[in-house]
Amino acid sequence: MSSGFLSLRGVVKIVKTPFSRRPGFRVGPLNLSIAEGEIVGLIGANGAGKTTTLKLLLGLLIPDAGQIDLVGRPSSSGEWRSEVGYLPEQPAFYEYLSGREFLTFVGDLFGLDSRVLSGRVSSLLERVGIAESANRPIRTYSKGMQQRLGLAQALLNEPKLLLLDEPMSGLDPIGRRFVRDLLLELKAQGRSILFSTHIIPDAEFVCDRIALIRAGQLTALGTVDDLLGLPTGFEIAAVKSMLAATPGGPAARSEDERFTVRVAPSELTRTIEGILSQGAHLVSVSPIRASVEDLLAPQATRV
Amino acid sequence: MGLRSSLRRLRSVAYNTYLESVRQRLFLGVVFFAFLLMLVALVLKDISVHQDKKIIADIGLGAIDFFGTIIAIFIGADLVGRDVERRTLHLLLVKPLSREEFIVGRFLGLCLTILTSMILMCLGLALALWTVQGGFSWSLLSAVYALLLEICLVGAIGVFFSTTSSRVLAILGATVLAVLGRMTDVLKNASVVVEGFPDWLGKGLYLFLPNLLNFDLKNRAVYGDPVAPGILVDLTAYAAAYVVALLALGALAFRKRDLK
Repeated sequence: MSSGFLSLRGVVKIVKTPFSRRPGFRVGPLNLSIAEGEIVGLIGANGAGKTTTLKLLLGLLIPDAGQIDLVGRPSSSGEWRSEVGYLPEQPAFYEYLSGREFLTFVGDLFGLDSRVLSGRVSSLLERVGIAESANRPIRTYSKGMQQRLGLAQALLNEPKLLLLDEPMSGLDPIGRRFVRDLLLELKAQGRSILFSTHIIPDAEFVCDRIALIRAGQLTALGTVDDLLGLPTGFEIAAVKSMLAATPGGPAARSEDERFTVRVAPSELTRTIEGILSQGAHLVSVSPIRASVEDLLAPQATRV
Repeated sequence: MGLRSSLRRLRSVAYNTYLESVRQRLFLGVVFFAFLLMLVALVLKDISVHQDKKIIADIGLGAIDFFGTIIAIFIGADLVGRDVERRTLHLLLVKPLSREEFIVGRFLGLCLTILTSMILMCLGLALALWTVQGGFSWSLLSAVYALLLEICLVGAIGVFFSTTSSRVLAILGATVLAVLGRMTDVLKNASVVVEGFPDWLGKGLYLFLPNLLNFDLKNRAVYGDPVAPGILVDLTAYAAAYVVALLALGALAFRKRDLK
């Protein structure tokens, strides 16, 4: 993996409210580098500066200072545009167009050959699960369908780099899982992804690294294990009504036939073997460790 | 970004703008009222003696001018600002579409909308004239062409304001300039008529603002005065110069605008 596929060096932006004498919200100085094929999650509370960071990267906001490179090229050159895909938070469309018409309009901007474009539009509509509504005006789409259309337009040019602002926002659990799987699939294809979110488990699941942003500053950057440390225990979920026989004993919680057990790392293998030997089915094994929420607390700073 | 792909992007943005504009209630309403006015002209010609064709042509061209200007101001002044406010632009400007191409594409789409409205209104006028056995003469066509140039120029004023300010301010600014543009002769001599009005301001506005009265060939058309093709060429060049300047200024202002 080469470094610097996407990079911000000393980027600063002061976001001012028009007609206000207040000094404005300062984002930066931001320093961040993403390698080719890497997924990085930008995590922060509402108003922390996640969307501003993405807009600075894409030239929608003009930085007051610093240097930005996208796909190895200076952001100001605009030469990266055909190789980058972007999904804004709450994407807005021309709602009188149908989903298919909108994607065709966007494809025209990329200069795609009309036959290639037509095929790609159809396959993307299928892939994001809105093919049946493709010819309906966008104004009739639900929020989740609009989010899926937003993903489709971000993938239309088969980008090397994807910048996604809250891609799971507005989606039901099935939709969230779809996006999660899609991100992993895109990563397997070698694409780089920077996405913002405040749904922390999703970020933990798919990201190679996470960057924490608080009050316009990157306060922590590293792998999930780097930032959260190794698990202090595991939570095992299994199905069958067998509370009395569970080796975890007092820590077990019965819910009909489903139960969970918390064990220390050293007890994990023995406990799983015990559960399986008594005919129960294992549902999940989740690590227990400090959460990303803890790192977002005001006192945490670990860059 | 080659010229060919740039032209394709301009065509896409222009066509999308056209689709968006002609679906607006304002467009349909304005064309409907223009037709209504021509029907009124048909009634009015009965109370005039031997002046029926002139009355219809006069009212018809006036309606095309007025309603075309309304379309140019209200749709033009909203073209860029609306996409900024609705954040539709966030999806487009990260594609290989420059801010300059977006503005020019929007303007071309507006011109197409204006052209469509004028064709529809001219059809109404031709129908009204046909009922009194009149024809659509070359001089009438010349007057309509001059009006098309004028209204596209007003549209460019609207687009310019749309790149720099909110919808309300853009409509206000475009309306003020469209009115002042028809009063440039008055502005030139304002210091003589209005006591205390700075002479430099009046003369400055006269030089700076487009003189929209240049495009008014309505009277010549109604009375059948022939319009030399050279005049139309001059008017085309005059309108094009202002349009290019306005779009260039708009693009310059928009280039550094933050899209929040």
